[in-house]
Amino acid sequence: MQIDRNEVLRYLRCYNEELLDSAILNMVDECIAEIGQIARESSTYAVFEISGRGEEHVELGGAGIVLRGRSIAEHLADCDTCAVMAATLGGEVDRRIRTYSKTDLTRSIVLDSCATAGIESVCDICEESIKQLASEQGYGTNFRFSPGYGDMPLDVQPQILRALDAYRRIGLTVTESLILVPRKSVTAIVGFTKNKERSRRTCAICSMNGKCEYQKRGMTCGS
Amino acid sequence: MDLRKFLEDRILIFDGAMGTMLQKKGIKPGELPESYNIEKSEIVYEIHKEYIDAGADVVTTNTFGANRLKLSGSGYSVEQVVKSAVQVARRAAGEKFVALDIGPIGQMMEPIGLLTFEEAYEIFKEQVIAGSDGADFILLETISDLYEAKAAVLAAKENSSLPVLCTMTFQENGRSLNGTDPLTMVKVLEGLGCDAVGANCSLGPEQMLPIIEQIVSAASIPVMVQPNAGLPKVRDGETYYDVSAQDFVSQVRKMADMGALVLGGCCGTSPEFISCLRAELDGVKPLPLAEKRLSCACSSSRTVEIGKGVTIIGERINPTGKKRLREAIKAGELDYIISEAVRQTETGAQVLDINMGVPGIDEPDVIRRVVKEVQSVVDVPLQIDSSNPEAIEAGIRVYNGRAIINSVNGKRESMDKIFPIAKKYGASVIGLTLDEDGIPATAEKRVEIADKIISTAKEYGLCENDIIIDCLVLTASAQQADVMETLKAIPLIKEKFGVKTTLGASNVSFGLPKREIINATYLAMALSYGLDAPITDSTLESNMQVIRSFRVLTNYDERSEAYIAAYGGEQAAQVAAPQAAGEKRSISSIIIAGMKDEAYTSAKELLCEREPMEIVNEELIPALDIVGEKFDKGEIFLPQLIRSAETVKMAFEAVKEQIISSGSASVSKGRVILATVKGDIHDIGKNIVKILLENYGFDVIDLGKDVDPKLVVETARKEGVVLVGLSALMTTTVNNMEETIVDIKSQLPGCQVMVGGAVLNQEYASAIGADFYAKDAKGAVEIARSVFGASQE
Repeated sequence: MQIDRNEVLRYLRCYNEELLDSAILNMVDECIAEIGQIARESSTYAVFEISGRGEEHVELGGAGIVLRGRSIAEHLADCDTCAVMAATLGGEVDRRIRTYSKTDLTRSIVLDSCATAGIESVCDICEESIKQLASEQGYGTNFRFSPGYGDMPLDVQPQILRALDAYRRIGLTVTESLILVPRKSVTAIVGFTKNKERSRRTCAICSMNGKCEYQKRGMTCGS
Repeated sequence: MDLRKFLEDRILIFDGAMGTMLQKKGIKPGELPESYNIEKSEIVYEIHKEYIDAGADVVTTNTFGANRLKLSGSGYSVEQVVKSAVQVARRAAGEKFVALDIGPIGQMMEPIGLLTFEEAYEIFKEQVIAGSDGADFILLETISDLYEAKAAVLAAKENSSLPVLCTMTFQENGRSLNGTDPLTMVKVLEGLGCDAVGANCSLGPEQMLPIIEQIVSAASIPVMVQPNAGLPKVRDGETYYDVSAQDFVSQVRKMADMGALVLGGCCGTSPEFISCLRAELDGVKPLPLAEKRLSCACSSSRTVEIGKGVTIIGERINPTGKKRLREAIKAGELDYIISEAVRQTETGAQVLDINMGVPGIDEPDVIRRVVKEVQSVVDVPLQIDSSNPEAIEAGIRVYNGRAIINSVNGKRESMDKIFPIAKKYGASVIGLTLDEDGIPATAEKRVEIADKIISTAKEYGLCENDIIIDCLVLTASAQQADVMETLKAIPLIKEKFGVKTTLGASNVSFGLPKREIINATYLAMALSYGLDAPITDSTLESNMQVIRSFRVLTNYDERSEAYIAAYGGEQAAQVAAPQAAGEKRSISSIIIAGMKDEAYTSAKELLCEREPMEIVNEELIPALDIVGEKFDKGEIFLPQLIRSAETVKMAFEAVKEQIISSGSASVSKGRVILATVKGDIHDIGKNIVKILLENYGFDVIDLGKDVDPKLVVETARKEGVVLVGLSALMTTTVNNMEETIVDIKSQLPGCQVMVGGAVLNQEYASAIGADFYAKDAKGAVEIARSVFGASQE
């Protein structure tokens, strides 16, 4: 896992590093190191064939999953196979963020942002190995698409975790209100495609589209 | 079934995997394995039968996930599934045994997740009751959270009379996912009365060996192991296990040689594995069980051996003589208590005493909440301190670990009430050497009372290492002539009974000036008399100096490393120059620069000259306004804003203390309830709103996250609160926000609601009936100001 300081600052909505004092910057560096110590990053994935599809759904028969929504259907439009992945930093990160929220709120917020950057990095690593597997089979991959992107509902989370046996493998659970616990966790779908021109993630599928502080400043969050 | 008797002559062999076998027999992903007990019970029967034919002594019911959460939506009840599973297993087992299988609930428990200890208990209880009839054991397995294991063991023990076997899963780093090490697991589960304890799943037999070695060397009860057929591997995105039955058995044999008595297989194992295991272990005589004694206390991730190099029990969470803490307990101000807990562990306390003895509160309820809160932020074991047995049990029950009870005394009534609690939950007990005749004058009489306490403890099934004797400190200003009797009793008692000792050491100096001098001297004396675990103030440097140097002189702190770390090099320079010379900063500049450590002292100094309210209105709030303005202009960012808010909070703490000690009118500008709505656990935003509201002089009743609408309404009614702030981050929880607003509006028409959170906007807020939408924390402050400004004028 590699946590990029600039990315942490972006999550902290610090749009101009020069205005930050050294105490805050030191805290960011300390928190990056702390995440390195306490995170139990782990990830798992499985590859499934697409067994059916419509304009607003994709079926993964082998996984017992139906992915709903126009945007995931488009995402997997030229794929006959996809990987379903799940990744987490583990519960100690949540616990530490919570502890600091009682004793040192500033640090809690900084640590939270470091963890967000951390889980993205863990996902990158997992996605990399999916990409490798795909390329061995003569495929390229598109970007990782998570429940909640575009119009893909969150209620697929329990199915995804069940299909991956994610509780046993990486200790990942989902609550009734569809929040992943531990908090710093991600599930996603990566399509295998023969199409050379790989699709990219855009602001259009983001839930913050139109409300985003970066957009207001003419920037993007870069993710 | 008499497990101990069985294990005298032979090893008990369990079956192997159910899931792997169901897959072989064609179960599809997404199909519920437990539904097979009803819909395809012949398949389940076949699997059990194959294991019996392979030589298993026990078959495990197909009920791993048969809890109400996992079965919801399946159309089957827990009772239906479990009862049919037990019947099928019984039919296949014949003369052999049936273990009722109970796996983890599949939800994370508090504080990381939302599942409470009490809910977990109820879920397990339902499974236990459904399956006890017809089974010979209850097997709690594949558990990675010790807290969940505790709920399960209590549910099993309190609702059936079957032997309870409990195995947890460990990672390659030697700990469970939630951080429990093997020794701690053994000490906690053994204390709760499990009949066997051990490990399963997750790892292959080879990776498990070092873990099993630790478990066996710690456990006085039978050890159980069910490894996977190797570490799971992934090929083409599919998981498989590749250890052969022969290799599996040769490793498991090593576990038997170490002393494990109950053996079987987990994921990836099949009847072939069990048949090889049977062949290997047939005729192998099990190692006899041996008592492994250890005086200890455990949190969920740490076992502290009492007396090893002096065990410091932090005394500060005890309201006796502490006005500020008493106020905090009465007001339910958990954050203050937490900060005391953290400060003590940071300064060296290894166990924390928790005493909530304030008149007029519901002590069991308060202690339960405080234990849950404290254990969620510090990882040292807790000591539950009360004169009310009900409060003790309430605290011990929800404690995620093995606690110490403070205390029992030599009165029959006290012992009859406390020892059963200690036995049931597996707690050590502090025994005070006083009885019906009060505190004895002599050391010899103290020895007699200790004798009575220890022998009565044994009648209740406890043993010497569960008892810690407190020889009771006398106050030098009142009973100077007898002070030494306490110390003289320590070596006598230790030698005679082999128990550990403790002392509430700070009481000796009561009534004298410069108490820390007497305390430090007395502590040094007591330690050299053999005191194991002083209950003392670790935040007082003079105490820590004594203990650190004692650890050097007794050759515990090897090469004086800890001592040098504390007092050598840089640290020493810091101690020598507490505040570098230079001009004094104004409190306003301290706040703007966010210098948290200086704010408290600076406010204290100001309080010598000016009225508390004046400081709040003329210094703190204007400084905050400047910070807010800078934030709005983009000159500072969120971390700096929060740091300044925390700085103000420190200054406020000084103001609050002044007000409490002078008994003058409160600074409160109004009281606000804050809650993250039911189902939601994202509380960063709420925490930021909270600190800013506090900064501006509002009292915040923080109900936390995942808050039931009922609790919001009840609290608002009870406390007469007219402004409630609700936060929700998820689209999936906004409906719970709406429900909460409806409840508030229908039951408390005078109460106004402000809402905030990423998915909300003004339009949405109005649509769900909120009075105000706060776009950020500053917005929430403005709303509170307008609500209370209007109502005051």
